[in-house]
Amino acid sequence: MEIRKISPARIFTFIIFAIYAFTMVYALFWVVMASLKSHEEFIDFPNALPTSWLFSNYAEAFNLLDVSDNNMFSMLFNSVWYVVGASFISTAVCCMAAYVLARFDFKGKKIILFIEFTVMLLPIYGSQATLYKLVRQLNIYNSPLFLIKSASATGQIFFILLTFFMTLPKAYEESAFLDGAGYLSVFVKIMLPMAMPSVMAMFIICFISGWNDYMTPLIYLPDFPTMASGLYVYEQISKFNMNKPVYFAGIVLCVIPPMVVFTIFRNKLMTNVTMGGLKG
Amino acid sequence: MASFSKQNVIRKYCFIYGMLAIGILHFLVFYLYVNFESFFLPFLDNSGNWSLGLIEIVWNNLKLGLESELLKNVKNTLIYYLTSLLTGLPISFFFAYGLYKKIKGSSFFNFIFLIPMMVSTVALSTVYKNMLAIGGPVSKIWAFITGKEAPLFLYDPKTATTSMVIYMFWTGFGLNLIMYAGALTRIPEDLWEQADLDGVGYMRGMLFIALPLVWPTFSMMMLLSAIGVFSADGPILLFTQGMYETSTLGYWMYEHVVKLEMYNYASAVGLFMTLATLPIFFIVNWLKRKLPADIQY
Repeated sequence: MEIRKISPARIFTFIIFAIYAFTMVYALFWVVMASLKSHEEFIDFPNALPTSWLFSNYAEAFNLLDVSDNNMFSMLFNSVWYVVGASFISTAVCCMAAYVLARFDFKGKKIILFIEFTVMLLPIYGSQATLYKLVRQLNIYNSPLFLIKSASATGQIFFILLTFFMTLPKAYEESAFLDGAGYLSVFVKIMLPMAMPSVMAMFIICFISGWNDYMTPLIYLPDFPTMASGLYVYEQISKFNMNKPVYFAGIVLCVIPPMVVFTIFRNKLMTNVTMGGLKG
Repeated sequence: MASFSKQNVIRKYCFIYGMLAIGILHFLVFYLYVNFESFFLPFLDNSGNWSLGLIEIVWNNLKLGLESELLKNVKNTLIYYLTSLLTGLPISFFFAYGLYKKIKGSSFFNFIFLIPMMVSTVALSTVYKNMLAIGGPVSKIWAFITGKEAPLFLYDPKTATTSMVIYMFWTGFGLNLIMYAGALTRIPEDLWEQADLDGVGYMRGMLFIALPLVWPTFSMMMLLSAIGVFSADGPILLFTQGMYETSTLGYWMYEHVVKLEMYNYASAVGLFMTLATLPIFFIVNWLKRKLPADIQY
């Protein structure tokens, strides 16, 4: 029997991977174990396994973790509408803009593409103050209407979809146009279904980053805390008077939805996201 | 016939600009107006009159050199920037290549490496903070190895920034890893078969086959990272709130806008930051034009 020789580089890579994986798995294991202890037990033995496994901490998290009259149920609800809404709006607007810019020649296209590149490549740092002021003036501060801020057709999501639409063959839409189909129906009935794997991948990326984004809701939606921003605020206001295992239970609950989404769609993400193409 | 063709052109333009309308409106309000006004804010005093007072204040602060509060923030920002550049580019690529080449257990590692992307930074930073705390596993290991009591990692000016840099390394993989993985899967399989026959090993395959072939992705990511120099605000809000000499420009901006509502002063500092980035912008633009012609963005 032939034994395949494993190269030292592969062994080295495996060791690096294993060390990294151990730290990550241990950290997650540690927080799950800590979430199952009593407060006293956590203070006395933070690194030991729980003596009695208090799954009730998870039920308590829904009542105890309260931020400006929002318990975990409200935070979960806020996360869902904010993240699904923002991801849908952002992906849809980027998809529409990417499609026409990739597939049509028209007056103004070059200027728009120039602006797209400039916006992506020229960061303007002083705008946070004006943006904050504008959001307040438009009365979308601390309101679900803040979702309109997500309707941007710029950035990485736009460019990934632009790349994708540029690679699709022209034959499908050309034959549809010859059959008398309108522009909108070609987009909705032919191009969008073909682009669906990439569009879904972008939606999932927006969903996961939106779910984990604590900064935007913290600044612009203070009365609508999401799971991420709410847990951050709770930690700040209860620093010295906190039942840590219950708080950790909240942290574990916050982590579950994006992990489930990611696990289900992992393969789609890994094969449908690229930017910059392949040389050759 | 001519009117049919004209009608078709009108229909086409209605469709195109209809599809672009929301994006354009958003750009006009949330980008153009916002940036236009933020350009003027530094030149207005509290009563709304034209003044160079704020510009002078910022300039005088910068002239203090090492004692300047703003330059201390710049120093910390650059530390986080270099950290994210290192994890986001070469290390992410090294990890993505290992997964692509199916290192033993790659399916498991694939899941693990993407945890920082899946899990909220609030959650990860909480875990990290508690692991570093007195009595936590890291301080126990520290005491075991050195025989001394562990420092207050995140609450000591000597160790706070280093602790946060380690955190950034630990959690720095994510979208970049996915980008590289996506690009690597597009390399034709027969190329690897040929390389195997020629005896090309693991590292040579990474450096001389994979890297040149995904270079468009790599260089695009590099360019995007290069211009974000002052955006690297680090996890300051989560860990130290700017204390223990850890504040960055991003955190400084947050504090002066949201907490202190000093909009004009914050805009004045922002103006200086933007001006400092302009040379990088032009270099990046020049490099972008030098990229191979078959690149699709």
